[in-house]
Amino acid sequence: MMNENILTCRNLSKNYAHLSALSGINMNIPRGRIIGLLGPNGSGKTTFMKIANGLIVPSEGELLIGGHRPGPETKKIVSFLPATDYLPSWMSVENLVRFFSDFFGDFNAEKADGMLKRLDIDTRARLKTLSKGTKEKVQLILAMSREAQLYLLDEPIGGVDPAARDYILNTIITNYNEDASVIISTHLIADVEKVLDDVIFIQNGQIQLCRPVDEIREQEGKSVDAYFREVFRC
Amino acid sequence: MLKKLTKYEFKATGRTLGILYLALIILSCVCRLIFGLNSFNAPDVNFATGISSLILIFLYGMLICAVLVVTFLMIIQRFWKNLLQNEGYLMNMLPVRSWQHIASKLLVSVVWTFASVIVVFLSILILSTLAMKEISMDFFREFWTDLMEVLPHIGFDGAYLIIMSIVILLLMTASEILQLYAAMSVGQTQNRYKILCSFAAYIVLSIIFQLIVSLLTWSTGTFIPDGVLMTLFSTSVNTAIYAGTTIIAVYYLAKCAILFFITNYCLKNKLNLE
Repeated sequence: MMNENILTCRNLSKNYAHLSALSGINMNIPRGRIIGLLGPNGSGKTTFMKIANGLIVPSEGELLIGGHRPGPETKKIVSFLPATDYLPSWMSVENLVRFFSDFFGDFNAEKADGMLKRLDIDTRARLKTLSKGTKEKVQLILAMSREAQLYLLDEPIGGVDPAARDYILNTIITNYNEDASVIISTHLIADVEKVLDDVIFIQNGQIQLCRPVDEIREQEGKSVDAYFREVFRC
Repeated sequence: MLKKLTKYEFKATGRTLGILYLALIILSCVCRLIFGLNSFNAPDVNFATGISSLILIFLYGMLICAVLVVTFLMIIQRFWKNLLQNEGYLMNMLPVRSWQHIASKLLVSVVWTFASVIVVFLSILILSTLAMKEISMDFFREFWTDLMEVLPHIGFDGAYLIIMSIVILLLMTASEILQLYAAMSVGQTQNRYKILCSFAAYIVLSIIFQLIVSLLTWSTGTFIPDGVLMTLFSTSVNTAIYAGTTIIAVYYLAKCAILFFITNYCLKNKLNLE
């Protein structure tokens, strides 16, 4: 059970009227890896995340998490951080911590409280009074305080200042257990590169490349960031 | 999970409606007190008191409208915004089945609908005591004793009728709410013009149910021989009442079931968040 891939895509496609957001993706994500899903804007990263969380349905093919299609069973083991502002603004931070503990059996409220304290976030503040960056920190803390088997983080550090960015990335690598995998979608490669095991380059809804970071450094003799710029040169 | 969802649904909606209810009750008490003063009945009502009482009446009317409109909008907005827009990311990442989302929202909406109507009635009741010479609890006490005297005599038929009326009222309310839910769930499956499609879906659903009702009425008239109906109605009024209420209840129950199924199917298999 533990040896199988945590996530599998078979011919996964998503078409909109005039556009194909994902076309024929085939991939396996093993357990215990931190994977960067890297690609330019509009390459299909968010579409992939949304399918994995059952927010949209694929046009063709399938995506399985732990052998199940997205549904209540997979949502128990997947911690998702969407790229949009998705938390109800009338709730306070402590309300949200309680909300997460109520609904997710794997949510560790102590861990969340610790991180909120560390980042100096007022837990009694309502979400609508928080700045964009603070809101993003709260979202990320909530996602990382779950002891999930798969973390899907869509643009997790976009609006956060560099100091908090480092703290957050540190939390990501120190917080997940060795059977869990993390998929981080971003275009801020230089910042996340040091925590990644593997990278997936995605463009126009297709996977361009899927390689371990060490291999890129050894064989190409450059950082992932430099390699990305070369592959996706405009 | 259903219990937790319902709890949060009440939390999210309770503040706004609670404040409105409180405001309406307080305003009707204020109106009752001010209009109850004898000076208003005196012939020398001056311009200032006239204007202020007009404003008060206007405010009162607006507040009643606000309670009813806000209740209606909240039913739509909670479903649309909380499940199908940005907040839907949060709600749909919970390990919860889609029928539980629908059931919790439906339950809370039905409760608020009834609460709003009751609060409006209550406020009118407060104002209506104006018509009485003096406010006395005697009126209510008499009403209560009369009611208690009548109740034991209504018998099984009366009790059945009262219970069935309540059941039908509940089912009707639920079916109206579910029709809104079903229309939104169908509308959101489209990639563009989601709101327009929801409106269209609502109209189509209305037409379909209208057709079903017409078809049912027509077929009763056509396929059941007049003689049968006549005997049914002539044997006893009670039989007719039993038959009538049961048919209505079954119709609304079926309508609820169909609409619930459509909503659940769309949320489970056709979710399409932006």
